[in-house]
Amino acid sequence: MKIEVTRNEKKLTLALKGRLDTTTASKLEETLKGSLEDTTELFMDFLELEYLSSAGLRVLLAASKEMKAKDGTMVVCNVNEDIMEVFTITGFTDILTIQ
Amino acid sequence: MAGKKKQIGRKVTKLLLSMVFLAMLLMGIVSIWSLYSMKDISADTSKELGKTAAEDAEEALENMAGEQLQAIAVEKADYIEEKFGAVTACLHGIAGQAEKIYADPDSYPDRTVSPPKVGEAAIATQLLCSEKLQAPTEEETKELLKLGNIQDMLLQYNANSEMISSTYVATETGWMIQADYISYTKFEEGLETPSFYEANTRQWYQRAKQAGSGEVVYTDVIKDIHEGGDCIVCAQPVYHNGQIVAVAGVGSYLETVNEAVWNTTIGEKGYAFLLNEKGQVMVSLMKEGETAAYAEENVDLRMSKNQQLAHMAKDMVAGKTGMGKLFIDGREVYLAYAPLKNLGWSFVTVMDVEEVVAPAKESQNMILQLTKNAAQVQDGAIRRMLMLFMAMVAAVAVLIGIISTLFTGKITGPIRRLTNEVAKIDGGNLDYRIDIATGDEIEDLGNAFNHMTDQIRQYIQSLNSVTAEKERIRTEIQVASQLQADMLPNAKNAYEDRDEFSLYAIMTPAKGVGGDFYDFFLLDDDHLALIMADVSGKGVPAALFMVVSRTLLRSHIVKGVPLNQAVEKVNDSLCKNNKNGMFVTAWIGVLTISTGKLTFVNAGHCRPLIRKADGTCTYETTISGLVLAGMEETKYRQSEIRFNQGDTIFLYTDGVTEATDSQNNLYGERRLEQLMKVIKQQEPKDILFEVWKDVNRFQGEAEQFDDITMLALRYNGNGYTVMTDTAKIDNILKFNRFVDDILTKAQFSQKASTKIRIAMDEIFSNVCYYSGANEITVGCKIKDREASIYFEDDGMPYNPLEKPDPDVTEILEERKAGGLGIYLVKKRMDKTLYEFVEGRNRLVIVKEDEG
Repeated sequence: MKIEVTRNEKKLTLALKGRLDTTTASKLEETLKGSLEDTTELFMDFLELEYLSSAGLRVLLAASKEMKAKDGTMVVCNVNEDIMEVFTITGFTDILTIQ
Repeated sequence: MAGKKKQIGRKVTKLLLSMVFLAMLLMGIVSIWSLYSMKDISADTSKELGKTAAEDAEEALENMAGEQLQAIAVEKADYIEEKFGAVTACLHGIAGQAEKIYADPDSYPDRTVSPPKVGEAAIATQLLCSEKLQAPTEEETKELLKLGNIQDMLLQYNANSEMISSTYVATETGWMIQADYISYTKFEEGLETPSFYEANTRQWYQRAKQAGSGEVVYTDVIKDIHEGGDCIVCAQPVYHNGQIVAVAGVGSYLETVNEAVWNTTIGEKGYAFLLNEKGQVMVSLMKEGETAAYAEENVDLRMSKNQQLAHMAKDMVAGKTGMGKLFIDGREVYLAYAPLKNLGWSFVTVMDVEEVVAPAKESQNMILQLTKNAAQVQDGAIRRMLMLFMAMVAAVAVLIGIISTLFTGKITGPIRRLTNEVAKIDGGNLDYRIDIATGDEIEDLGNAFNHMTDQIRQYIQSLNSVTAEKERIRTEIQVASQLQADMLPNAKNAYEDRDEFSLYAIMTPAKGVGGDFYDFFLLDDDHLALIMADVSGKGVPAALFMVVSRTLLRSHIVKGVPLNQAVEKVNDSLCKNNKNGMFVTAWIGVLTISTGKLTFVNAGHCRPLIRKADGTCTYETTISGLVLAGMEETKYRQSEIRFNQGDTIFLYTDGVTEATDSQNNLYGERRLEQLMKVIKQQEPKDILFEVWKDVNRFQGEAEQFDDITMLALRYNGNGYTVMTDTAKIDNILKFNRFVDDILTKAQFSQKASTKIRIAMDEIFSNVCYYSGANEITVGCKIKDREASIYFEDDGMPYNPLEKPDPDVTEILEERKAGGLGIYLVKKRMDKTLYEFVEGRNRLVIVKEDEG
């Protein structure tokens, strides 16, 4: 999985490409760890993300909780059908902002 | 019937006739034998008599013939002697005269003797001389002149005797005066002067020189020097003053002797011969053979190989008189001989014995002929007697026939009546009563018939009911047998649609309904139950118990209930109300088709045989539990084995291993195991057929005592492609690729593939992070657009599917990340399944293709 990071002041955009699964989730986790402090607006572009597993969900949930805690926003966009299904099943549609 | 009626009569007649015939036959044989014996004795006596008479006659004839022969021999010998007596008288005369002349020559005038004349054939005296007298002295001339006085005597004696051929006197000085008829022979051919004659070289002269005064000597039979005929010379020396001065000789022709021999006639074949002092035959009527004259020069009969003849010849030469019987030239003859004393010869007469005894033989033959005629007359008499005897026998036979017919009619009458009565029963009328009152055994027989008829009637009645009952039972058993057979699932074409396994089963009941049964049925799509059982005993009770057992097993073995518990329940149910103490041995197993796991309980049944894909065969070794219906509350243990692709399990009842051949040998487990190893066939149906064939071949002519029931199941594998590796997270990519390849090959949609991939991610990571497993196996198969993937690990037992689902409705702050993965799997896969098999966690996910 590749992560393309774009920072515009307090807005952080992460474009994920590939598969977000148990082997790659840690990479996203690492990326977010040092970046969220100065971020109030997290934008995650899933356009080129093929799918994600529960490992990915765990990272997304953690990131979402962190952004909510400092009144920031987190938006997930360009979600494909499969990922959307995963979100639906796991109830992530209720806790994530999906565009 | 008319023919039959006379049977007994005939038998009686036959018996009587046989006895009479036998007696008469014996009598006949004895009398005829006696007659023939008498005939033989008289014939023998006659023959003996004839023989003795013939022998006596022969002896008499022989004696007579012998005497006659002897007489002839003596007579002939005397005759010849007599003839020679006359000759010797002449010789004495001549010699005497010559001695007188020598004694007193002066009283005799001188007389000249003429020499022989050429061509003279009349009797004449001739002077012959030795060559040494070519120039005689005066004295010699004087001797001749004086001796010339004897010529008249010589001439006279010769002329007066037919037997005498020549007379002569020869002197020591060489003169020889001879009177004979053959003057012409004294010359050499064509000469005018007579030949010289050397008298002293002649045998007669030489022999006479050895003789005393007055003694006569004879020469051998010699050829006359002048004439050539056979002759013999008698000679006598002429003494003067004690000295031999001359020898007188008389030559005799042997014709006289010969004629005496030749003229001898004895019977038809008899003959005579003359033997000289040297044992030679001189004259013989026999032209050839042992007694022929001059057969060979110097043949001496004394030296003959014919011993008898040689012996007699010796007697003859010794001058004896005698006779004897001997063989000459192979013929038996009588031979008599008498000596000619002066000559030293013997006259021999010979006569055929056959000829002698011919009259005796003739009379013997005549007696024999008479005996034969007498025997023929006797034979005729005996034959006539035999005819008479046979005629008598025939007459008696006719008489007995008539009498016995009359007599047997009385005996057979009642029997015939009884026969007619019984014939009515014969028609099937068993109610008929025979009524005969003869007061004898026939009446008893009639009563016995009545009793028998009653018995038969009763017997037929009872037989009818028994037969009907038997027939009913037989039909029912037939129906029951069919019902039982129908109850068992039909193995033909069973589960043809399943690739994972194939099975076949057969049952051959020993007789009627049996106690064996097999069963197989699916509990669900992935579980197949197998049952092989044998109820104790046979027949209807066993069949009924079998039905109960089967029904209970079928109803208790269900998905979700541990197999051992199901079996325990069945056992408890069977134990209740089992007053007959029946029991069932059973092997019950459940196969998890997707994994090849076989869970089973053995309740006292034969150990199944397992053949691995590589051909190795082993009996399943788990210790068996107690039989079903044996004891209430019995606990059963369940065991597991794992099938790999190509493994086969063979279930059977003891009807297979305890099949016996005609020598009562058991088929046995070992033989079965060996057979399984060599069978090439793979399909259960073929395997069972091979076993069935082998057991039948083993049994041979022996009867099948027990049901033979068999079931074979071959596990063809679960269809999964499998990969195994270390359980670490880095290997997930390898496993992903492994599954991806299969999905891509099957042209699975991206959508479904993604879902599967996520599920894999969840399960694999769970195993790696939490189970503590060292190894993980992933199997994948696609069938009918449906992908099945299983994950097996050796970690601690854990069923993730039992984990409670996460609450997906909580607000963000309350949300937990745990449990989402497995939740996703459960939600997005069509089927999920967890098992713990042989110490391994096994999770199966199934996903149908989408789009």
